[in-house]
Amino acid sequence: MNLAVNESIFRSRREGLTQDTLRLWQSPNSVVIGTRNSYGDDVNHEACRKYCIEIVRAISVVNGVLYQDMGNLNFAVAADAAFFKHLIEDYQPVLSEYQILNEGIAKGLQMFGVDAKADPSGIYIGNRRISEALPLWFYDFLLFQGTLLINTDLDIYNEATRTECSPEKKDALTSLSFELGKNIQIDDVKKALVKGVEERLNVRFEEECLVENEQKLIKKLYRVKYGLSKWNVNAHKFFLIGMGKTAVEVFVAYPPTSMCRELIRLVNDVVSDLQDEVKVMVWMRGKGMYQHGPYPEMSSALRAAEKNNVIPVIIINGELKFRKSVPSKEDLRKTILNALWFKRKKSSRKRVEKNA
Amino acid sequence: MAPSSEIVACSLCGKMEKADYVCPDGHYICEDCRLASPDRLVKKVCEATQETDPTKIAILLMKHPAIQMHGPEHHYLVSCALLAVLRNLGKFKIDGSAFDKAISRGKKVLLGSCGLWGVCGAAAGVGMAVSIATKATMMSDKERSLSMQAASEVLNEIAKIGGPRCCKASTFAAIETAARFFEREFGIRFSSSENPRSCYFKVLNKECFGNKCPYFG
Repeated sequence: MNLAVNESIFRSRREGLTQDTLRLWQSPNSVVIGTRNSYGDDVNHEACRKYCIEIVRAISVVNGVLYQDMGNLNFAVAADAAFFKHLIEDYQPVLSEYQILNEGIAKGLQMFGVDAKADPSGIYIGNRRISEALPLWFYDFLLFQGTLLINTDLDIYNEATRTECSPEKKDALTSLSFELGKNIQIDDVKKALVKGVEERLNVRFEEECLVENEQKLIKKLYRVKYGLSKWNVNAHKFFLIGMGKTAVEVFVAYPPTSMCRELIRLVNDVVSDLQDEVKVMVWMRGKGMYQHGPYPEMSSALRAAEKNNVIPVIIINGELKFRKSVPSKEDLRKTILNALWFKRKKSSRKRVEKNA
Repeated sequence: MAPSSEIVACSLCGKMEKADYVCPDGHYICEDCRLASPDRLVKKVCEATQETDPTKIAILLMKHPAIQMHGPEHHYLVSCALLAVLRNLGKFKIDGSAFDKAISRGKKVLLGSCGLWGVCGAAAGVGMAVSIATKATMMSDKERSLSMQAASEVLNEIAKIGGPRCCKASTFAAIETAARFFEREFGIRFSSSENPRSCYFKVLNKECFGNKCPYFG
């Protein structure tokens, strides 16, 4: 659920519904893998079974395997990257954002008297890593989600993430309690981390709750993505636009032909009573990817249709459903409702599983 | 564009049909052309045109939404435009199969071949047009030499433009160089009613290198 919270905050930020956000949380034993990591090969499943460790997949642009337990302090920053540009000399896109955020977190650690050093790949004490992140980008918006090892059980960390492809990590890891030789109160680290990030970014954070849209989206993201093995095991990419509406993309000729116009009219007619849950986007061939604003969300199916000159088409939630013909109103409505209903059905099944 | 219900000719392929929209200048594009894939569009237009200026044909085609700003369709667009003009001038016997050959050969030239192979697809397209017009094969003598000579002259001109690649600039350079080549080698003079300067596509090209390009201003 925590990953759904992060993605919800990120989507809310990029839609302009909220401000730049720092979120801190703890979670029970889990291994978090990156979007492109292999579920089968990058995690030690035997150790995960032994210690009841949940394996979840984060959405990220880099590979990585993180272990979290209640001794970790996890963090997520959702921000517009434009904010970081004036905070560093010799700004380098992508690397500078990671560097600045890691420096802020390292500042927080330094308040405990450890010599924490930041670089774009993480935070280190000596040669040992104490913090690592799995960042995600959407145009200029960054979601920097990672973990800080405070009282973490490094033996379990090592065991759970040790695989044939990834050898012993123990000597490469450290925790704050290991460095200081005593257990640390997570609340103290939270305060120090917030202070460190505030100083580095030259900002003041205000504590706020999630907004209503974010809360709704968290449930939806968990239902259609983070709660499903399709995502966690197979990394099947779910196409969810903005704040999680079902997307109906119509790809037509420019100027639209009579068939294209009929298709647009039919789609608008079918979704007229589903406006709260469905977003219709009409893409015209040759008008470019920015025809719907500066941050277009175009499914890969639509890109494929454009590349292969399959036109006109209707794509629902990233899946090509109708091509080169006008479907009947009943067929189209059934397909759109199925896309909505699929999610509801999954949700009720999950609840049954939990109750069992 | 204004709604219409008149019977008008398609500005691309010449087909007469009842128009739904007509632009202020009276242009209309038929439904089939609006939905056409790049290869189908290029073939349809080149088969139908009576034009004797290859630049005019190329610009007409490149304005169609199916032809991307940069893309491998320019490779066969150049050869088909040249073949259409050669046919219209009556100096070579060019039939419908010539366009199929040009499209088929042009499709084999990779996207980005300019940077990857050192051979721009537009230059290869001119070589293909000469090869198809003269019926050259690898066993031919003069025809083979002419095809390679045409391609190399065009390549040399495109190389002078610099980068990053612009398929529009390469197309213009290829056609201009091909026009000089055909006049010199075959005594065929293309008409040049359309001036590619200033480039119609410069505002659409994110990587346009501006004044550095001979077709910019």
